[in-house]
Amino acid sequence: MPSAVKRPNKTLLLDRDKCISCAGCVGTCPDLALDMFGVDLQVFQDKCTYCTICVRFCPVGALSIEKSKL
Amino acid sequence: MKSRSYDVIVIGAGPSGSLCARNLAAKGYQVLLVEKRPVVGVPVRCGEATGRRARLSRFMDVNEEYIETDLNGVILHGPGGVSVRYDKPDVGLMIDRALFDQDVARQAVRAGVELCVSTRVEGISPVKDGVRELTVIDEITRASSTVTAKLVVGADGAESLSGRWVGLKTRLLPPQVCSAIELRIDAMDANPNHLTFWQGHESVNKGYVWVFPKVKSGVINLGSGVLTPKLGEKNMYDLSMEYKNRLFPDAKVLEVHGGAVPVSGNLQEYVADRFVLCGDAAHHTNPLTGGGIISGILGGELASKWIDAGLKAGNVSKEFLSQYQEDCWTQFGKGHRYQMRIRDFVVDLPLPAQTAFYRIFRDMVKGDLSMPSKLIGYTRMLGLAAGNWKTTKKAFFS
Ligand SMILES: Cc1cc2nc3c(=O)[nH]c(=O)nc-3n(C[C@H](O)[C@H](O)[C@H](O)COP(=O)(O)OP(=O)(O)OC[C@H]3O[C@@H](n4cnc5c(N)ncnc54)[C@H](O)[C@@H]3O)c2cc1C
Ligand code: SF4
Ligand code: SF4
Repeated sequence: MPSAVKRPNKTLLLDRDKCISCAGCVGTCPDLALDMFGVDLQVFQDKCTYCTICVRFCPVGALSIEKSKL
Repeated sequence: MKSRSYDVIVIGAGPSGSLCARNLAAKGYQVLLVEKRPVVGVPVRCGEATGRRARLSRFMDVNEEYIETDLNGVILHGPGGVSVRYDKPDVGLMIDRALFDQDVARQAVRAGVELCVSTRVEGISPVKDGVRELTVIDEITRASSTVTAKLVVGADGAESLSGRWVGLKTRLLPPQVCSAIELRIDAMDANPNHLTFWQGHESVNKGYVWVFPKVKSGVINLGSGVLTPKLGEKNMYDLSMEYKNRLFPDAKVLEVHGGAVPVSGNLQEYVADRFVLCGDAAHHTNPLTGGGIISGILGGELASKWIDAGLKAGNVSKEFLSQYQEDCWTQFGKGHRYQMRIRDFVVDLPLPAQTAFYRIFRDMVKGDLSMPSKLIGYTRMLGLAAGNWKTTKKAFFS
């Protein structure tokens, strides 16, 4: 049951001031957790597994993973 | 959309999709070309360097409107201060990609293709009753609708998800995807008819920095791309800005673009029942140079040829369409794999051997790539390869 899976206390952060909407990260995500709508990159946190691939890829360093302060 | 059903729906009006759509419409098929951007070709995510006029004219009438520069050579700055300069008239072209993409899309529309911009495909159904159904969103009204096709072409570029919707493994797998940035700069280079590159351990090893002059517009494309970096490594924007500040300190940065360049070589499998991929979506991009305009166009052309054959034969099964894949493999896939091996060999060489590689290359070019200079060069290369056997084995025999 996916809903029962415990999510790690992490968040994929997008710095919208840095993001240049290149959409490059979209095709690198193994879990389809990213998609580009117009010039807005959407992050679907519920799908993200925090694998860091998009963070490594982003050519402007707009993505990072942060431990959520719960 | 004028209709609810088409013979072929092409996703993405980049060069690959537009060309494929154009060819199919010219053969009499009812073709819909769906593009999510409001304006075809904008924003430009490309260095805009491409092959010679003669190469392009194999596919279309070349339109002077989008030609920016006639290239007369290439300058390659390697490690250890070794630079290779190759002067030869008509080695390639700089183009305006926005105008170019619009030109190819216009050719498609003139051939009878229905083009829908600001329209995004959001899903593709499995085959049912001899068609696939696409979920399509109007990006302006957000209205959702469905439309069917006997065959779907995914030409949705490096950001392609269409293949994954039909169960193909098309994800951009690091490190075989380049993270790339491009700055458009208000300046002109000292060598306006040359492409200039920096590569190697002393600049950027697993990729390169480029300066491509657009003479007609009086601007420069300065950019960089590398195989996916490790966490914490310098990003391509910072690297490009370093070069910009060094080479053109006073010039203004007019635009910043970026993107992914698939450099894995052709995908293992990119056809399914009533479905094919072409262009960047199929990783048709050259894995050594990252150039994907010409190979995308060629992929689009080959796709149109096999789709026509399949629809005529009443067989657009995965099995039939795999002939398209084989055709691409013989026409350019094999060559790309070889270039990929050369790439891996050069980037894996330690600094002294890499410098030696560039020296050999420089001497061959100095000798005008004549038969004797090539023979001497290849012999020296063999010596270098033997002296670095581990790297050679990994690049060429694995
Ligand atoms: C920074 C950079 C520099 C480059 N420099 C060069 C160069 O100098 N020379 C060269 O030859 N190549 C270069 N390339 C590669 C080149 O840009 C690509 O290979 C080429 O654009 C591929 O063409 P295509 O038609 O396959 O895809 P694209 O041109 O990417 O077209 C795909 C289209 O599909 C649309 N699309 C995507 N998803 C959907 C959807 N769901 N619904 C509807 N539409 C959709 C997109 O909006 C886009 O218009 C560069 C790439 C980058 C990132
Ligand atoms: S961290 Fe991994 S799973 Fe999460 S969005 Fe990035 S690529 Fe996708
Ligand atoms: S790769 Fe970076 S700049 Fe490009 S869309 Fe993703 S977050 Fe934005």
